[in-house]
Amino acid sequence: MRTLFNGLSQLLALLFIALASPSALATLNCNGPSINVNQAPYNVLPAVQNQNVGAYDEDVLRTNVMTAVVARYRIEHGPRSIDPGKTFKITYKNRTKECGVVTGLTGSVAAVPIPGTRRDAPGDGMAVENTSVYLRQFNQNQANQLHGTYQVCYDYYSNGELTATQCSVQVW
Amino acid sequence: MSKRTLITLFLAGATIVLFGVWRARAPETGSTAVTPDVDTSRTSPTAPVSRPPVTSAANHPNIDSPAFPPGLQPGPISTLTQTFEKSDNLARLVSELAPRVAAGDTEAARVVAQALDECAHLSVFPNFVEGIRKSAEAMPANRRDAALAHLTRFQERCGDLAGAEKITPERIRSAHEAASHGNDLVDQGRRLTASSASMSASEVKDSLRRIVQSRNGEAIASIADAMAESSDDRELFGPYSGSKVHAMAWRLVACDLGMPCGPDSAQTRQACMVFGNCIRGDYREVVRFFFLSPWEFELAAAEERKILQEIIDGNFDRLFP
Repeated sequence: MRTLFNGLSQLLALLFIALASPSALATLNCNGPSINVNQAPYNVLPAVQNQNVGAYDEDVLRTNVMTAVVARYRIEHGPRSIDPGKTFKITYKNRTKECGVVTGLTGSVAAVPIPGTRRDAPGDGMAVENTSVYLRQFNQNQANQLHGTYQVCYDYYSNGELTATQCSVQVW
Repeated sequence: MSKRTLITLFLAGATIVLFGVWRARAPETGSTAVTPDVDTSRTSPTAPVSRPPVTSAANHPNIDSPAFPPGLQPGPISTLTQTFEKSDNLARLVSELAPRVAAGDTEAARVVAQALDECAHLSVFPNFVEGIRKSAEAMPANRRDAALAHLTRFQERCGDLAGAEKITPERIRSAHEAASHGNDLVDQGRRLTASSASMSASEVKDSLRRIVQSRNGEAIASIADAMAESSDDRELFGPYSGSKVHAMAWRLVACDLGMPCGPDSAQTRQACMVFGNCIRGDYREVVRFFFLSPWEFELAAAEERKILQEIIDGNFDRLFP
């Protein structure tokens, strides 16, 4: 009986939080693996464990975190599990999140943040839309694979309906 | 005392005893026991903590080392790579190599790019050293010692370089760019790994044979990741390819053939400084303890022995038919 009561009250509390905070319902789909740095093995990365990098920190910090996280992901899932041109979602230590794109296989700059995808931690902001982010094109410099461009598109949904699509070309 | 009272008293006593037993067992079943030698830093706050297997590398550093096939002659490792590995001050090395890089020496440029890669975290993250030190405190004693030793060497090598400039992605890309126009075996291996899809099958196989035939550990390490290509591509990359186990087997082969993989090698230290995977021992220990499961490691070691035997026997056409 007591367990039932506890379960019911937790469910009600979750429901209240969800209804009271629109951003808790907002989702960000990066069309790739979701990597939460608060979970093992990412939570012991030196770029994560005693650092406090979030989605609103400067690019160079986020690039370093993303690169370390992607390299660790490859160790877990195989060296070719997330090749250049693949997108992924990263949830930072402070639970802010954003999408990233893999740009290389080695080195200390092998993934970069995708502009316009930063999201607050659940419960913080007022964003209500659901967004799906995907790449239409990914080009690497043929000679050295160190530079390139990609076309990224953002599909915005509200109540399950696609309300807008925006695409832009980014240089990396 | 009536019979009914006696039964009631007996039931009450039994209830108290059962409750006591249940309370005594509750801490064992309700939470997870943490032993002092468990690396709690590896687990997420919500994940159950478990003790590493007793046969882990941390406890038995030399267990299950593969029998090294007789007759193996490691290939040459470049003087510049050896200089890089031994350097106590990468800022000085980068500055010494600057004229060679300016003159178009791609091997020198590659070493500069490696130095920037190694030191980037120290340059970018605030209090990086303190962070590692704090993480090390939570490690078991033998791993803590390894982490602190790596950290000392890391500070020695990177302190000046990271202090002199902020190592930005642009700086790193331009260093790699200067290194990318070479045509030695390591460059060829990197290009093959990055863009084998745009090469013909014969180009890929010729390149792989040339690299492996050279017995150059560094060049072989540069193709290791390509050997994880999915099993559909086994025809292209040969019978010793198709999974992360194969990629690791090739990395171990590279170590056997002279790629610097010792306890003080840049590769072993980077596993500690970038992944937090610090252990006393060489790169093989890192692979065994952190990168593969015990069973995967056994498979990788078996593949490693087979590949080495093929190299010793000169069966390069069997490696890449």
